[in-house]
Amino acid sequence: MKKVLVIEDEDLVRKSLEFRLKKDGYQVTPCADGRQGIQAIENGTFDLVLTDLMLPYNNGLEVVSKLKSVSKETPIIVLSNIGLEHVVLDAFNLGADDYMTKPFSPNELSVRVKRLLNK
Amino acid sequence: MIKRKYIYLLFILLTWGNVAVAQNINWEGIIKLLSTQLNSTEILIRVCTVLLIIFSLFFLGFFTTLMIARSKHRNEDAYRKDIKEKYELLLTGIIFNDEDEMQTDEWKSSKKRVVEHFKKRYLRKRINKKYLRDHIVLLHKNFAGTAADVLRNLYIDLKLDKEAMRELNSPDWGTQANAIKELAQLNIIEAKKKIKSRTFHENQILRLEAQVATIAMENDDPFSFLGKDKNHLTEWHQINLSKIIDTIDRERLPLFSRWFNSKNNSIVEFCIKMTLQYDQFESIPDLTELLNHKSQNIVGEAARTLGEFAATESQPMLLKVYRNATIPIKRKILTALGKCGTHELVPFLQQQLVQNEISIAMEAGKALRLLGDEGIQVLKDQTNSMLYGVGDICKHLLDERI
Repeated sequence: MKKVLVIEDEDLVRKSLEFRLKKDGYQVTPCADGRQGIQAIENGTFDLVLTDLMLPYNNGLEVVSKLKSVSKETPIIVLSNIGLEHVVLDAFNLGADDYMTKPFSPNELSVRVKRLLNK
Repeated sequence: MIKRKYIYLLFILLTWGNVAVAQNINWEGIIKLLSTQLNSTEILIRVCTVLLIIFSLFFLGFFTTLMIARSKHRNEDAYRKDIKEKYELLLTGIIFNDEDEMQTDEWKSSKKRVVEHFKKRYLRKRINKKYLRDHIVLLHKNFAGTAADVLRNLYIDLKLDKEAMRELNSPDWGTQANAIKELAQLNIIEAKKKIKSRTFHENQILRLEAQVATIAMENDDPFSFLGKDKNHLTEWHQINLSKIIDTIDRERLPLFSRWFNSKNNSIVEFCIKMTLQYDQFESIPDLTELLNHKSQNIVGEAARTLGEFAATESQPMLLKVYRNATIPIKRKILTALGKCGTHELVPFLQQQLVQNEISIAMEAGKALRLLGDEGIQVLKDQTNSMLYGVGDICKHLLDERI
């Protein structure tokens, strides 16, 4: 079973993502802030990471750079309600594999996760 | 939790006990004893005793209220947590399915059953409805596509839109503003008329929410409020309006020059900014006319926009207005001339470079630099000028490191 790390501070959104990804057959580890997310990355191995951008303690960009310094191959999808060009470019420059702007379709997310895991 | 309740009860009983005992005390005897012991007058002791009793009672009342409020708050939190878990199960279960799965009769009937169960079990209390509404709004903000449609349908099925519509009539402007936000987020068409009627409300926040919602929801002239709003648009208000304008289709945008003749100067300024933001070049003649406006701020904004549009045709009018303009406006016009001017302007700019006002000289120098070789040659010629500051300005502007 593929392991997915979900880092999202909004409780309800995190649980919804968890529900959807579990339904798709993944083992999901939820984290409520950037610090927890970075700890999870340091202590475990994941097949994919899904992170929000605006997070308490450490933001999503810090999570991206941490993940890429630990494991370059692990794909990461950034979820954010900021669609500004420079922010998107920053995320990709740090190594993000995909960027989705909120509101996003859970079905679309599901397909993107599948595509990245099958690469 | 139970232990704490007993402590409060004990505390209240003890207080009552003390009051009861106090009624049987020989106060006169105590006061006399105190006045002889403390060498003080009886009246002073009486006043002090009364004050002491008042403050003790006040503190007691305050403490009791505080404890009751805390306990109530704690109970509410526990209740909210409990109901939240139930709502999470309902919402995630209903909306996060595959699109194909959602088309099946089985899914539809199971959704109907869950909704009915919820209506009976959890939606009788108004507070429960409020929590569910908050949850749906939050999810709707984050999810799009089928999930958003399902959430909207659920919101309508549970008649939560009616609750929000009712809140639009609340005497509290905060409740109204929240209801407007919610109805706009879930695009409840029925509410459009009521929301639009609040776009001129005297309360600034309510007015802003109504205007933002109207722009997002209304297809028929959503910006019409700009022609009627007599209230000053603060910077904060303008930022919020421009944020929502940024999310709508360009085809729905009107020509903002339509409101250049508004008597509300803040609306004219806002419309000039939007004209620039959305590159509405067809408004250049109207912008040029605004250079004759009474408000210096509007003249400055118009000049800046004409410069950004590189509107060469506005050059004669900019020069005409320049003569009688104030120094800040003169600076803005010079900046605009640098961007939209031609080499014919070089003698005029050279004249401005060598006059007394240093800030004007700086802008004239920058404009000369923007005009290309001819302008740069003028700057080079003036590097050794004996006039105060001019030489330094020219050297600064010619410095390739800047």
